[in-house]
Amino acid sequence: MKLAVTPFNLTSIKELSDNGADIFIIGNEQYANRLVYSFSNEEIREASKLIKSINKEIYINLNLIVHNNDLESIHEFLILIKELNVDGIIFGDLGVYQLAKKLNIERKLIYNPETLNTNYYDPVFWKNKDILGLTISKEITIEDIAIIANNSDIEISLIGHGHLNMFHSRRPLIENYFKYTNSEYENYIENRNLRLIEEIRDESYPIFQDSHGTHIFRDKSLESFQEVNKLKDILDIFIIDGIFKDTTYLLETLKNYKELLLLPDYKEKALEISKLYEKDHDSGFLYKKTVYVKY
Amino acid sequence: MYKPELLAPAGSLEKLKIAFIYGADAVFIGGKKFSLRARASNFDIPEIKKACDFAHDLGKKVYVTTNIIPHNDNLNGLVEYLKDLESAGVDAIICASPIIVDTAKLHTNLELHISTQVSSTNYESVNFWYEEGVTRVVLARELNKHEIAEFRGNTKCDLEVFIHGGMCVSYSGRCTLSNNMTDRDANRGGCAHSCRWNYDIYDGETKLNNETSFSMSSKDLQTVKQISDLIDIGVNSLKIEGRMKSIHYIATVVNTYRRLIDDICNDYDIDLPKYLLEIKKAENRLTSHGFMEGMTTIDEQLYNMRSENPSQEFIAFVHDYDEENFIATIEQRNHFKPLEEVEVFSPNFEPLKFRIDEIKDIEDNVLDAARHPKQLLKIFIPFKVSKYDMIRKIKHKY
Repeated sequence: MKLAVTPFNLTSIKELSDNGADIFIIGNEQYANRLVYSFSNEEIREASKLIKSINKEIYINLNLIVHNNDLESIHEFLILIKELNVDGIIFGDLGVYQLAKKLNIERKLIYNPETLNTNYYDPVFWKNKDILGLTISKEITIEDIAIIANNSDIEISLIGHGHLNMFHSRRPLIENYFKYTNSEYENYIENRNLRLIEEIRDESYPIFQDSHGTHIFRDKSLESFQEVNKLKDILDIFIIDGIFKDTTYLLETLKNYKELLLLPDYKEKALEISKLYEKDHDSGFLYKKTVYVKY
Repeated sequence: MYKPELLAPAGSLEKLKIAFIYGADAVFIGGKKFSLRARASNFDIPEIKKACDFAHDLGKKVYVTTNIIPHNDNLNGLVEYLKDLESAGVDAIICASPIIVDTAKLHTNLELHISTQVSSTNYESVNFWYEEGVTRVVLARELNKHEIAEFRGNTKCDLEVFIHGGMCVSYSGRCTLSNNMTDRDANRGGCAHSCRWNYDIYDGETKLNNETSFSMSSKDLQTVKQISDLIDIGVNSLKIEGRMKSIHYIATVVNTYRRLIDDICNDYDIDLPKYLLEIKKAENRLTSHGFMEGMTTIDEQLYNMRSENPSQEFIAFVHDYDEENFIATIEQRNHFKPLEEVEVFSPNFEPLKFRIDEIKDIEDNVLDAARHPKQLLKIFIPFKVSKYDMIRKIKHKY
C-alpha cells in the first residue's frame, strides 16, 4: 500500500518524500475542488519534474464538476498533463473521462466522485472502461471497503485521513445570506475559517464559498491509525488529505502512519497515537452503517 | 414545432390516474425496491403492472425509479426485480448506479434513463451514458437555459429537464449532510433534508448572525416563463417533481403546464399571468426559476423559514353528476360549509366559480358542514362537472 499526501507547496515535497510519502496529489483550482493549495500550471510542471527526480509519483486532482464552458479549458489542461506524463489523474465528472479518452490517456484516470463508488461492482464497471483506479466513497464501512477492494483488478484508493466534505452546492450561499441580511460579505468569500452550527446540535461544520460554489465539511477529521495495518492488505493507496491543516500537521501525521506500518506489533502504539488525535478526529463511517427508512 | 413530453410524478395509482387525466404524457413512480423517496407510497409489481396497463390504454408511458446508489448488501434480488419490471411493461427505468445499468442491459431489454442523482452538468457526461446504451439523461438542476441549449447540438441522447418542484440545494447525489447528521443515507432514500434546517454561522469564535439564522434552503422550482425557451431548445421531456405531493397539487401543476405547452405549440398568444396565477394555487412553498436565468441570488433562497400554505384549499373530489337535477356526488377532502365561495378545477375547462348551497349526505340528511374526510356528499353545482374534477375553496387572504 502506497501513502499519498496533498502537499501545501513545492518546498515540502522532498521532506514528505523522505518521511514516507509515495504519491503527491496536487491540482489547480480552476479544475479542482477543495484543494489544500492551488498550483499554477507552471508550478505543476516544476512539481512534476521534482517528484520524478526523486522517483516518486504525481497525481493530478481534476475533480471539478464540469459545466459545458469548462470543457475546452479542461481539454487544454489534459494536453499539458499528458505532456508531463503524470502518473495519475483524479476525476469526479464523467465528462473528464470522455475528454481523456479522446487524448488516449484514460489509463491514467482514477475515478473519485466521492459518493458514488459504493459497491463491489463499481471496480468491475471501471475496469471495463480501462482506467487506472477508483477511490472508494466516504460513507462506506471497513467491512464493505474490504469486499469492494477484494473484487477489484484496478487500483483501489481511500481517503483514510483528513477532513471530508459532505456538501457541495453550485450556489453562492454565503454571499447570498449576507446580502439578505444587508451585511458586508467580501471578507467571507474564500474564507476557510467559517463554520456552521445547527440550532439543536453542538457539532461545528467548516463551510467556505469559492468560485465553484459552497462547500460544507464534517465536524471532525477522519483518522484510521488503528485500522491502517488492516487497510494495508486491502488497499493500493491510502490518502492523507491535509485540508484546513498545514505542512507541520501533514508531516507529523504521515510519520505516525509510516511508523505504524513498519511496526510488527502496532496495536498499542496505534491506540496511543489515536488518543493524541481524539479531540477533533473520529473514525468516520468505518464502523457506522448508515440507514434509511424502508428498503 | 417539436412538442416535448410532460412527465409527472405519482405516489399512488390514484395520483397516476389524476396525472394522466389532467394532461401528463408520462409518469414516473417508485417501486418497492432500489428507489429513492423510500417514504413515498411505493408500488409493488402487480400495481406497477396495473399502472402500465392503464397508461398504455391511453397511449401514455410509465417510468420506474431504480435510482439508489446501492451498497454491497442492497443488491439481492436485483436481476429478478428488473425482469419483473420488464414483464410488467414499464417503458423505462430511471437509474444512477453502474450495477443497475449493466444488470438491466445484461438481463433485460428495459429502456434506460439516467437519473439526476449523478448530476450530469455537461454534454460529454451525457455522451458517456449514451455510448453505454442509455436513451435519456435527466440533466442536473444546476443548469441555466443557455447551458441547456448547448447540449442539444452536442449529443444525440434524449434530454429530460426538471421544470417544477422541490430542489436539492447541493449538487444531487453528492450530498452526505443527512448521512453525517442523522446516519440516514441520502443516496439510498433516507435524506433528512438537513439543508433545510437553521444554522448559526461563525468566523472562528465570533457568531456572525443575529436573529436571522443562516439558511441554505432553496425555493421550489417553477418555470412557467421558461417553458417556451425549453421547447425551442428541443428538450425531449419536461419533468415535474413530487411523488409525495397531493392529488390536488399534481392535478393543478400538471394541468397548468399541459395548457401552457399546448398553447405554445399551437402558436397561441401566451398570457403568462394566467398560468402563474393558476399554478400558485398549488404552491405550498415559495417558488423561483432556480438556475434557469443564471447563477442563483437571494431570490432563489428561503430565509426565516417562511413557509406558506397554498392559497387555494382542495375540499372535494367529484364522483358523479346528475345533469337533470344539477346535483354532484362528491368525496370530502377538507372541511367546508354552506355559503363558501369555491371553484371547480377540471381538465376539461378553465376554473369556474360557484357558491356552496345545501350540503347533504348520501341519505339526504342536511348537514351544517362537511366534516368527515372521504365522506360522500351531495351538493348543487349549477354547471356540468365530471368524475375527477376537483372543488377548491377560494381564500381571500390579502
